[in-house]
Amino acid sequence: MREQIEEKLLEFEEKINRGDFIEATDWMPDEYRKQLIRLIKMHANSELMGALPEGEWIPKAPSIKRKLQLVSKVQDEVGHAQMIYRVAEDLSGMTREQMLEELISGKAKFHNVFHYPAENWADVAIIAWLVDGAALVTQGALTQCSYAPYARIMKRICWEEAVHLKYGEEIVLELASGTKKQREMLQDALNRWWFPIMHFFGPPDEASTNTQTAMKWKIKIKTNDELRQEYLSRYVPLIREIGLEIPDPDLHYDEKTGKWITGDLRWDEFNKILNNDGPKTKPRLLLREHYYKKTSIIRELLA
Amino acid sequence: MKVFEVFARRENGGPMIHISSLEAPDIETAIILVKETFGRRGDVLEFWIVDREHIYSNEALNIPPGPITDRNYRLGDYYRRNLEMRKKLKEKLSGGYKEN
Repeated sequence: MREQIEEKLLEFEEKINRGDFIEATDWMPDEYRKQLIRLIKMHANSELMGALPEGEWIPKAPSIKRKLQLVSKVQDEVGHAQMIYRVAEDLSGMTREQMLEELISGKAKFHNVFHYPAENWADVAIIAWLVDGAALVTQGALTQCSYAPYARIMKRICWEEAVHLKYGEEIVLELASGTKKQREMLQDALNRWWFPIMHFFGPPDEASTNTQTAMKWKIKIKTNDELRQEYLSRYVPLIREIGLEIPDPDLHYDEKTGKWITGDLRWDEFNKILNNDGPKTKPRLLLREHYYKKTSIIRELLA
Repeated sequence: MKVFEVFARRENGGPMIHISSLEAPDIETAIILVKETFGRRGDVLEFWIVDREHIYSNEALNIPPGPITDRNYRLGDYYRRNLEMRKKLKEKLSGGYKEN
């Protein structure tokens, strides 16, 4: 029995090394399945929870055009959650209800950025441009994930995220080209969002416990630090170009190593959020629970 | 006779793609035909055979496949305008930013 499993594992790893993909019905090691389920569930939860801070702004959007764009984006995010929960259902044998209940109970995780308030309209702009930009970097790498059902939907999701960040950029440019007050609002939002965005890619590689296996089995294609570097290379010039200041005075590009060096990234704040103890964690989960209960009648009717 | 629609995965990690349909009296015969017709080159990794009667198509149901109103803001092309906005803003910034 043990020999059989070792043989299967060998075969599995050869497949991965060849660059082949794993389908839902293929044999996979328990640890691979476990890590994937954790990653995919967290991703699905994040898409769903991510709809909440932006959803709050739908009634307050400053024009009908902005409202339509925002409705469309929030709808996309909820759609992503639906697609990703579906992949998680096949992989874990859990039902969607079980996963949603786990989320509501506070036992499940969702991305750090969705534990923060969206205080004003400039936050909506920064979220759509820079948070979705961060998501696109991460998810772009995941289109090469060895688990094919996840990689396939990631392609579709990335296409939509690319539209979201352009929409965000449009509002950012509008505010950056506006009054002194609008420019200040934008800078203030960037000041508040910058460190959460840096945390979004996860802890530094030397502190990340799952990275090694995840990389070996191509669950992840790039490490947290590689993704963070990619993001900095892409967005720092675009942010500075429009006259915004990044609130990390030590941030600079080191020509010798070809890497961005950051100042203190305030990881304490991230660690608190890992324990579901962020500034907006509780009210958001309560809101999620409220919607879950409110829609129970629909689930019953459809069952 | 029944009509079966045939889907195949030809690329590792790729999606199931519709390749053809065929006529067969039952699923057992359909399987043989699919293997003989489409699987004979060894380039099919996986196939699905679906009884056409089990497919709900928007055409048969007379439903438009997408939105009926113009929603161009859902497409990347709409945001080409960002390039122009960025260019104008850079010009403004280079001369010391002034409110309009």
